[in-house]
Amino acid sequence: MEALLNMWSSMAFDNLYWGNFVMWGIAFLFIYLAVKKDFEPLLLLPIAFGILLVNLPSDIMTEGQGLLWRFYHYGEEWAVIPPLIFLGIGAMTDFGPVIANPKTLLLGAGAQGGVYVTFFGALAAGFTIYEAATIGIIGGADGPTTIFLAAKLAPHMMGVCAVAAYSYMALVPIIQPPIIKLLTTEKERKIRMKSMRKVSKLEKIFFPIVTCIIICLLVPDAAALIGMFCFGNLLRESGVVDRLSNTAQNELMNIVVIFLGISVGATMPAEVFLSPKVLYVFGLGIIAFSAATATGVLLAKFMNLFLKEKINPIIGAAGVSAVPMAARVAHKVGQEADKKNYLLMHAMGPNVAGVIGTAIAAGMFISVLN
Amino acid sequence: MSLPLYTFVAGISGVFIGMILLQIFVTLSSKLAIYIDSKAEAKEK
Repeated sequence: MEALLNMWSSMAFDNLYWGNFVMWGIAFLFIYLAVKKDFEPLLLLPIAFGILLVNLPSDIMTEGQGLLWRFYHYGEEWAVIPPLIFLGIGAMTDFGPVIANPKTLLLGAGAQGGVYVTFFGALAAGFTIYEAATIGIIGGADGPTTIFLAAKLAPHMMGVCAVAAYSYMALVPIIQPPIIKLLTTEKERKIRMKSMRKVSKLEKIFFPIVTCIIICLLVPDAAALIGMFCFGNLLRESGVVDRLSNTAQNELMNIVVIFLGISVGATMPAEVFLSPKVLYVFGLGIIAFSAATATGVLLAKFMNLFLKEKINPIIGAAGVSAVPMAARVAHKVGQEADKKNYLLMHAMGPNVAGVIGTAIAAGMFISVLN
Repeated sequence: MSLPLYTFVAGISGVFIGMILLQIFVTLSSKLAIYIDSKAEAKEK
């Protein structure tokens, strides 16, 4: 009998409490959404498994010895993984639309308005200024940047902010269209934009070099993200290091996504996640996302007051990062108004500019607050 | 100025200044690239 009791006490069952079961439910929901609904499965699935693992009583997240703690500590707390993801994103991104129409860079900045609206919302809700900045950056719709900023300013918010950011990124097709339609008239949505000029290889090579120099000088705290982003893009556009470019886009990206996802999920034990604060974060996250969409559209409308060749204000909504889903949504909304209006490539401009804009916004938060 | 307000002003102006500068330099670098390309083309001919 004693042997049986000893065996029982060495098991983890006694350490379970109701909160763990709730978190299992959340993990199963995420697995369902990833597998069945195809909602950001590349990240949602590892995050879900991380949530499940950390809510099975074990030493897997114990400081200094747990496996997932090591992934989290060296990957995210040291802010290594987000820049590596940016390297991959840079290697995957074609900046042709931005180079052909540099005005769209401003739309990438406009959409950051949502970050600051939410920043003040979070402050009003009682969060500290560091937490408010981390919650605000969800509006940038950029997971790696959210994690990067959380690691620097509010590590305890990393898990919930990352999950909120990725959840809302997956919900772009649901959140954005009503806001776009509310802020634009049918006539505005029908605006056709001139087809883009062809961008030469040399222009594409110059772009990451120029971007890296300008942004790193202006916002040194964003250098890790922007530097890796531009380096990845240079690998792609140079055309002489296909092996490196392919590795950055595929193998390396896949490896870091595994470590990122599972360790972000592991930052959500029940005792941390099941608090009213989390509900606030999700509530503020959707405000961030909606406000970012709105400010992007409104800036596009404002720019139209001064431009000879009008831009379709729908593409302003693509200024939230969420590449390329936000651009696809803009294209789809445009086609609902005019079936022959092809906005996809035009929307890619603000879309990739949004990635740079969010990284700058994060860098500014770090330089002011850290 | 309170810290939140300072953070907001610094952040939003940083983002816009960054993007405006980027816009200027991307336009200039494009012009340079097109000039270099046309020179190279002329040489080839």
